[in-house]
Amino acid sequence: MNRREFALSNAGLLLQAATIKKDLIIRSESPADFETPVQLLDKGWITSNEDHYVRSHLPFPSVQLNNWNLAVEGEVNRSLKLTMPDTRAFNEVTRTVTLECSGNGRAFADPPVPGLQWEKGAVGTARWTGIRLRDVLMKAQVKPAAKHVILNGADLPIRAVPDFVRSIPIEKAMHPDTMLAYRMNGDTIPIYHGFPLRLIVPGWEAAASTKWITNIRVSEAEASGFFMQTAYRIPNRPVAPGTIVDPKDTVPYTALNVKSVFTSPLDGATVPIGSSIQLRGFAWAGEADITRVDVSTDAGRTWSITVLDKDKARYTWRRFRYLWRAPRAGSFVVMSRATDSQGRTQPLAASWNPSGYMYNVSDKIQINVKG
Amino acid sequence: MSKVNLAIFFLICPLADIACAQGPAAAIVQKMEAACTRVCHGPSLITQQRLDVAGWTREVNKMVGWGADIAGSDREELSRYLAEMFNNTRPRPSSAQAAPEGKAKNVFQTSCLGCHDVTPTARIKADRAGWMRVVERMVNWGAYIPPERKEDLIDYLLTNFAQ
Repeated sequence: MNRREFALSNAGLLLQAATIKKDLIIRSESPADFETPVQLLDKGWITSNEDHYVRSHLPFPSVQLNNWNLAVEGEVNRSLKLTMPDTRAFNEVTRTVTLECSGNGRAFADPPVPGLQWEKGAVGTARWTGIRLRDVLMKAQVKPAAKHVILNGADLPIRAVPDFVRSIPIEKAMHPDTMLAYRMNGDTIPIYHGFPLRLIVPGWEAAASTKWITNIRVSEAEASGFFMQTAYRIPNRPVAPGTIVDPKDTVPYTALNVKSVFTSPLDGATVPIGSSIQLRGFAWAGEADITRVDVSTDAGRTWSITVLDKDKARYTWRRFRYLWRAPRAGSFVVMSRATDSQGRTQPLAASWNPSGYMYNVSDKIQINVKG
Repeated sequence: MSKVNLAIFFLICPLADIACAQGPAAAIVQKMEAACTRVCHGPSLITQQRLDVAGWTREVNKMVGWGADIAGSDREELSRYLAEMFNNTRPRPSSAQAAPEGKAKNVFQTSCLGCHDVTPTARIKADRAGWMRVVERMVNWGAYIPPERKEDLIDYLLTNFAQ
């Protein structure tokens, strides 16, 4: 049994899963897809490497740094084959970025849709360090015909499963904030987060942030495979729940929605009457900034503005807090609603789509007050 | 148990049935294991879905297109079986908040909450022997509980649910 066969065996898959922190919710043991419980998100503005959610389409690749290369080819005047030391010759940058899986909240789709049934925790914020993708592309001398940059990782498909290949438009690839990261929160990126090199596309749904990058192809066309032409796309118009939508009637999902989730207290918590409860959570908006977050403690009848923490950066979430005195015995529907710098506000009702992408309905928890 | 021992254990004891592997469905379940959960992905990817026959048929056909070795004559039966087991009348896969904290929380989430929520578990009043019988019954009904985690799971059930 070679390494790849072992990686695909039950033992290999379980061993891969065993390397992840045990507190994460296992949505899929293989490939490894783990969700962060909201109480772990509550620990701070930065999500630790161990607590950060994990999304994989294929088994983790086996990576040997001594024979690792990053190829840059296609519509360039000078093809490159970089070693890891070569990548360190570029200027180093660090960006704090909130990544969210496009299917975060899919479990709330009605009727249900296939896919990983993420609830609220396929989101996290980490400090990524690496090099600008644009610097690499400029060294390769991108030709004027280039319109897209196709990224492929070392992860390999099984049988006829399509390879996980994604592309981003050249404008986003050349944006100074789009980067190839080799460190996560100051440490070498763990294998399950994309070691040794991961693309980070700030503000976009996280499937764009391809892991285990080994090949960059500059192209006139976007990637042609399943994960670009069928997956990660949304209908080009609102559709009735349960509608089957032809991929030709869809558009790619790119920049994240405006959204918020409570991280404390937990849904279903019981608190004593008269006690002061800090309602808190995080709100994010992709390429936009969060401008305010409101909460309601009466199922949306009235709203109150929350206080936003000072920790902030472009492309990151903001923590919101609101002090609520539990007024009387009963069970209270508590909601959050974020607004961003583009004027977007979270809806109170969901718009269904066939893959459960972009779910951003106002978050809702139930708090029980006992006398 | 060391990682090596753990690996050897799972090599000789592959991920077992994700649902009832006895009775009339046994044959189709075994084919599904051979084509799906022993080859490309784990059972959770199946047990968390809540789809009707049409939805499962689309998923089965998609997997066949991706190389799953499911004979044409078995695809309809498999789709019907999956729709019977994992449809929208079943409780939603449980959220993290619903599972109490504890050493075997992950086992409880993976092995139990893929098929039902916390409610039926919370209704059971049992001592250690009673929980052992419940767990054995679930295993007989197809739950996969790693044998070396069974005691942890029973401790977890005893600690977190009414005795």
